[in-house]
Parts: sequence; C-alpha cells; structure tokens
Amino acid sequence: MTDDEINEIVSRLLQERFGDAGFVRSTVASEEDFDGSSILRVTAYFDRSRDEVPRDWLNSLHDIRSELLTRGEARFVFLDGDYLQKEEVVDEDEG
Amino acid sequence: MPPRTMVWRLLEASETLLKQKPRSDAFRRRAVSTAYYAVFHALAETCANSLLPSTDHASDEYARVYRALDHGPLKAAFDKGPLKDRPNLRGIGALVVRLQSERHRGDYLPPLGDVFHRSKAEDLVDQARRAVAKIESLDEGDRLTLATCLLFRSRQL
Repeated sequence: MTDDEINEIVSRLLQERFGDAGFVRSTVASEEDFDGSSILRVTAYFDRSRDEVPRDWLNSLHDIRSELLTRGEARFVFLDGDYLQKEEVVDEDEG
Repeated sequence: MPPRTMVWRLLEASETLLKQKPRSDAFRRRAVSTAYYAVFHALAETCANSLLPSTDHASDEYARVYRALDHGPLKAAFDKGPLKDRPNLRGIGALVVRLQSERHRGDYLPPLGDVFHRSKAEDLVDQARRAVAKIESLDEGDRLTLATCLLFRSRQL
C-alpha cells in the first residue's frame, strides 16, 4: 500500500477515536528502522495542547495495525502526536 | 500509587529524569531508554512467572528463565503467529517494537540535541507505562502465549 492509501485508513481511525479531542489530520511516512526493516511513521496533528489530548496510543495502535493487517499491510506503525503548543526548542546540552 | 517493583521504579526514574532536566537531551534520552527497559523487564518477569509460577524468584532456575528473554528476536516474535494475531498482544507488540527502536536512537545516536523533543519523550514514557500496565493485566492464557513465543524459537514440524 502507498503512504497515501494508508493515511486514508489511519486518518479515519484516528478521527473516530480522537475526533472530539482536537484531531485535525495525520500524515504517514515510510521509514527505515534501526534493523533495516521498513516501518510506518504516523503523525497525528491536534489543535489542542498535549495535556488536553487523551493519549490512548495503545488502543489506537491496535486499531490501526489490525485494520492494516486485514489489507495485507504488515509493517509496524510508530504513532506520534503533534500538539498545538509548540515547546521551547532551546536545549541546554553543549554537544 | 503504583507498586514499588523494579519495573514501576524504572518508569518512575524515567519521569524523574524528564522533570529534573526537561531541557537536556541527554536526560530525555536516558528517560526513554529506561522506559524501554521497564517494559523489557515486565516482559521478562511475565515470562518467568508464567513458566515457573511456583519457583523461588531467587533460584538459579528462575533467573535462567528470566534472563532467557533477548532483545534481538523481540521484533520478529511480535511480527508473527499468535503475538500478531491475538488482540491483547498485538497492541503490546506495537508499543514494545516502537520503544525498542527509540531506545536504539537514544542510546547510540551522536549528540544532536534534539533526538527527543520534550513532548515526544513524555509520550514515549507514557506509552511505556501503558504497555507495562497492559502486560501486567494479561490473563493466564495470554501470558503463557507471550512466554512461549518470546522465549522459544518456532521449528517446522
């Protein structure tokens, strides 16, 4: 499946679970994991702060992986949240 | 209040690291790595307790089974057979594989300063906490399946 085809499914499932919690959209990108295998990185965008979003990732991952498996897409899904309030990016470490 | 077991103390250590120095990528990386190890120990404990339910935890036999869990085959085990098919185990596998991947990034990437943003590190520690709670709530049948699939290689009959 293409990333766009996967995102159609993922976006619907995330909307069902997080539609009332500020879910706006999702993106899907195929990436290589540390062992060379391919994984799907899903980013869920919310128009609320992190504290306002119920991060029920375990059940969401189950939903997404189950739906994709039925369509023959067996890659693992890595789900990230992107929240409204952007954090301060300044890091105090010096390298 | 969570139990004072090593697994939950590791999760507590992760949260403490994030609270102590949220602007330090080194602290955030250690928090994520420690959270993964909390999940790994939860799996090892579940496997050992399932296969040796009445064995003294201080015994050599218990330690041998506990130590039989290996990082390498985890991903492949969760990608096939009953661990992929059973609803209760599928979600756990997805979280374990994710955390293992992030543990690799946190432990081995050079100091880039932004391996884990604060919210991402917090999310990963939160996911580890949920994974541990889920592992510890599995019924006897799922625990046994988890133990046999994670500890023993499947052979063609």
